[in-house]
Amino acid sequence: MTNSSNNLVYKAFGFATASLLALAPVSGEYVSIGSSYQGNYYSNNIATSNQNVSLQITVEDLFNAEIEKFKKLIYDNFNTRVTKTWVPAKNGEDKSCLFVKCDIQETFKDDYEKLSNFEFDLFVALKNDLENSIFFNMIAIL
Amino acid sequence: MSHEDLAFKFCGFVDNFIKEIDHISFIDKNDEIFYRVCLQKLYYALYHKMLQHDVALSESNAPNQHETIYKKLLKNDPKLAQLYEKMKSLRVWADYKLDEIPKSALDLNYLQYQVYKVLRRKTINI
Repeated sequence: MTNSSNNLVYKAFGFATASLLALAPVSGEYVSIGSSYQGNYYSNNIATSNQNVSLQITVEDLFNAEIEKFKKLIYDNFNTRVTKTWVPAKNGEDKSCLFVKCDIQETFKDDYEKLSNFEFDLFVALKNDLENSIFFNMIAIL
Repeated sequence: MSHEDLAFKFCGFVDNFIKEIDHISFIDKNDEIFYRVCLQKLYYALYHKMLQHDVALSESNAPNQHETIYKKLLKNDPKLAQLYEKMKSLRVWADYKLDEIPKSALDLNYLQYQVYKVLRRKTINI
């Protein structure tokens, strides 16, 4: 495994423990997340004296969790729901552009100048989160 | 032919392609290839516009010029960097990826508007 692959694993696991563990209803029960994914996965087994909690977190889970995070950030910043997402070019370890369609776009449907300004506002608002993102380096609208 | 000429020709091609699509018998505007060709040409219009304004880069044989352009724009013109990265991403999909495009959600006229707007600029801070 290359250094950058290792970095991805470390970043991915850090992200997972920070977000997925907080989200998962794990109290006293066995939990397995994303077992249907056919690609690589990284696992962490945690055993205590009275319970056995096993987490299998796939790259696909982390990818989806980041998309959900950006949807929430957009809602928090712009008070608009994301109705569609698309990632046209996943390039292995390179970051990709996340495309979103938001409710608010309907209000300036054919006003391309306003649409363009909203698109840039999205980037400005999420710039720091994109810099810290594992999978995405840019956001744009559909 | 100059980079500027090529940029306008690519964008002009897309403009005419969109206008004439209903009259072309072998292709339909719902065909995915229509989207792929338009997105590819729009990206290269933008790419050549950037090379027009960065003589050193246009004369260089350095690899990965696309990424270099994006990084320079990110420092000097973040709004243009956003458009460039968006179009670059769509071009990669158009040429290499097999998954379907969300056609109903993607507005080619909007993308063409954005690219044309950049092509008409006298200066690019790259």
